[in-house]
Amino acid sequence: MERKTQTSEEKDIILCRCEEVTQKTIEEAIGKGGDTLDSVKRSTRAGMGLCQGRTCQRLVAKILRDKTGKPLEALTPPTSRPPFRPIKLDLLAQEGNKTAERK
Amino acid sequence: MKRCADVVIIGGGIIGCTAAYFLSKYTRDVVLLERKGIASEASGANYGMIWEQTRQPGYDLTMARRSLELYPTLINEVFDTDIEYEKKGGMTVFFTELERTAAEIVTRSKQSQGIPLQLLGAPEVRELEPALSEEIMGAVYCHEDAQLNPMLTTIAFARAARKGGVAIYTDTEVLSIRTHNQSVQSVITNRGEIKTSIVLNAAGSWASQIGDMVGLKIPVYPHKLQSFVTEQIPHVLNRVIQGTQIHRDSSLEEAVQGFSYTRNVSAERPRIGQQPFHQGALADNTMLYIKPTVSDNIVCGTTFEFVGHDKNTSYESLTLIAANAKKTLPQLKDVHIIRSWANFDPWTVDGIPIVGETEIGGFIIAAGHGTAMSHGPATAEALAELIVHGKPIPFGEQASITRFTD
Repeated sequence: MERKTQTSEEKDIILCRCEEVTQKTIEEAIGKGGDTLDSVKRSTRAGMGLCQGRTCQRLVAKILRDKTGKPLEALTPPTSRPPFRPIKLDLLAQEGNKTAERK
Repeated sequence: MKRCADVVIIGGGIIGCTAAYFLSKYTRDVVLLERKGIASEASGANYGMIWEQTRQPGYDLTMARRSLELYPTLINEVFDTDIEYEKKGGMTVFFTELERTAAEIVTRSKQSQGIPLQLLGAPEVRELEPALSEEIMGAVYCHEDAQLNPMLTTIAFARAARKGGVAIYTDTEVLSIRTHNQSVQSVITNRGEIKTSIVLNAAGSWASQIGDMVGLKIPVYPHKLQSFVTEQIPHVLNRVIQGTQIHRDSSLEEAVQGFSYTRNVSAERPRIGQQPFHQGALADNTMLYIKPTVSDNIVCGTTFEFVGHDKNTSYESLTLIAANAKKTLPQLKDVHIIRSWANFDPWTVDGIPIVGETEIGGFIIAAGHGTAMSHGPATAEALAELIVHGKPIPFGEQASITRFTD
């Protein structure tokens, strides 16, 4: 499929808003050999912010597909870990103190 | 994929990648095999502490010191990316009189071994780290201690190795190792066979599975550590903070051990078949780590468990970590946690890794590092000297597999 060549301005588009990672940075990471979502994440921080990739993961996957030729299904998502929504540390700490006192 | 190589390295963590880079200075015929991706396991998930204060004299201290010398040169001359290396000094904080007494004993003994430890009082601690709790009584401090981003460091070594001609194959699993007359012949992977006379087992907490392939018992066990990371917050902390493993009801002797600096290498020879275990509940097996990242997310840990390679995080562990973190850095209570994970420290009974040649010709081990980020470059340098020039590893008898008995 023919793709429109992008202008440099378009390449400055922020794909991962939490970590402010641009399309250009992600393309560079792929150029340096990153060929999975995980390796791109590890070298650019895309998907490591507050939303944990809920917004940018699909966009990064599509760039990876275009650059590497891998089908979307083969681009396995990085492991998703609890908590599933950000949780206040104090909520956990209060529970932890109870556990420590019980023993 | 290449069909033969001078050296085949198994494992794309910090030990495998540093070894690949140092070997690439001497030979272009090195292959590195990694089951997943570079830094996919412990090397991408630890606290990046390049600490001298926790080292034992001999092999452990020699490797840590040499690495502290090597990192600045590597950063200036070799790496093409930032690894977030900072020499900010390391701090072990304490809260009780018992811990203070133990800290005094440990500090004196380490000073006599030539490690520049200082005992800080509460005002000095708060001068260095104003956000820490007022309940903190003091800290053991070492100005030589540094920190870095472990994931970026491992990737930087892999890139430097690739540039030096090393063939790195990720998503490539070692299925078996062929030997003849007790010597290595080839490595068989899911992508084919590679002929070689030297295999470097750098498989971290999976090292014993690789050992099984040549009939060698390697007593390295996965020690599970859980951690979480907070959202980005305004800058509150300058350096990694570590706690102790001392309980209210510990004896003074136990308290000294609780500083984790004092495991005795020359003690009774450990046995190979001994399965490690922890006494008590999870709450008894916690230790505080708080690491500010360069992006001002705060990484907090940890709890210790021997549960094989079970990578799930548990609610109980996260609550205990949170309680410790809040007690140490009270501002954290209003901060959100965004992700948790577990990694496996490769554990040995005496805290010293297993490095060097074995009874199987050409089968070399470099595994069992609870401190691989700190030992990595120096270990790799020594391994390259061993493999290329046959030069013995400094204090090699302390790290040799021959220290274990059947």
